[in-house]
Amino acid sequence: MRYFLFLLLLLTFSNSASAESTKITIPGGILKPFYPPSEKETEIVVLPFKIDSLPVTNKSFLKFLLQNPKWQKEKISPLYADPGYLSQFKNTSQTDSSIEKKPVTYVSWYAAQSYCKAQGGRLPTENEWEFAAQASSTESDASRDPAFRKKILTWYSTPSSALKNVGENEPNFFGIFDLHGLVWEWVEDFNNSLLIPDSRTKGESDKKLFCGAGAFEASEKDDYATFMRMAFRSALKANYTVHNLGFRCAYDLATP
Amino acid sequence: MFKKIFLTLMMMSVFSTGFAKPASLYFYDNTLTDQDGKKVTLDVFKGSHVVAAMFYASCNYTCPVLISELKKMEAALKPEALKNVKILLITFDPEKDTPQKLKEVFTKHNLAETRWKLVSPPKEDVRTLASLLGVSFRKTPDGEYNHNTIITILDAEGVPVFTQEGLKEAGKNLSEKLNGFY
Repeated sequence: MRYFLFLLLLLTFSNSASAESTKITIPGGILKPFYPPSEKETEIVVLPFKIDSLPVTNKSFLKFLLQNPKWQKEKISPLYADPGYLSQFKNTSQTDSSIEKKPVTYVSWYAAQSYCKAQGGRLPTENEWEFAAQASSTESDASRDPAFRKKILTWYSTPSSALKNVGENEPNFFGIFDLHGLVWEWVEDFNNSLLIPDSRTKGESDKKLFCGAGAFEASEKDDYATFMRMAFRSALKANYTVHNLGFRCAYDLATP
Repeated sequence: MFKKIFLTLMMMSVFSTGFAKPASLYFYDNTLTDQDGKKVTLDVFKGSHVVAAMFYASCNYTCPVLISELKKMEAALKPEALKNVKILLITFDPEKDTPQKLKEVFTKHNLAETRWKLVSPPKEDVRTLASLLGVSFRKTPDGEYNHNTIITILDAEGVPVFTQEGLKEAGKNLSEKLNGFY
């Protein structure tokens, strides 16, 4: 009997732990990117910030749409989202319980930004996202752990099937779920990489094309997963909607 | 089977430039501040062709070349075109580029105030505007902006009709395109 009660209690708590998103405070630190944006930026200071423990769900996004009708797919300007916007919704006044707890996808950068602003927050910067995402379940910085990197790369090479619900995998060291293994996520400065169309010439940037951009150097060649994320981000345009691209929000430290 | 086709079509939307005609940028209607401190909106030159680009006043590298190419473009426009072409430059750096700073650019480069406007967006909208114009950029630790150069021609309704990538022969390409409309 006691065992049964304990199990029931455990089940209740494990359900509620991943049901609602909470704001997790990430302490500040130094990010050592595999692909530093410049020679001077091999160690980047990341100030403390808060971030959603879960990706934004279809349920939460629908709530936002009801309060902000101009972002509904019937009303949105083509400027702010391509034709694929919210394909998973039949229409925006109807909630589909089968997709409620899935991460919202087919959402453009403009829509994601607007959602986060409505929550009193913003999209995380790339540095913030990478800082939070380099944590494994046991280490705050597992970026140099080959086993951790391999795990992420395995996910990237697995063809995506049906989306799972948020919060079903193990959280990372900070208590954040699904930074890896569910969907790609928008960041505030997704278009901060200046990849030259023809980058076969190493070193010299085409100075007439770019203001100040340099060569794209890697410090360690074996974090292919990070490289894939950067390549993916730099291929995006702000109005793109993709079947496996979602987002979560970040907040300044002072935000309640 | 239907699901597969549906998914493929949706995937295609990632790579296509959209099934519909591109939209007018004037749908963005937040307030900008010009070089005279006046509040304007992006459609301030609606009715004319607008040559739009991002820049910043303290940029010492490509931005002076951008301005010089745009002046070359002006010089190469035939009279009917010149009457109906305006130039709109939007700064990456609204904090540093105050109206006074923007006005200094006018003086320094001897820009025609009847045809040019330099505007400062709300701080939180810089990347939105850059994204609308297809511009990628990064702010460096020392306050500079690394950015690509994209110059867009908007029609009288604010719909992009031509994109000039890079500064090589930019003035020539833009003036040829604009002269072709008149």
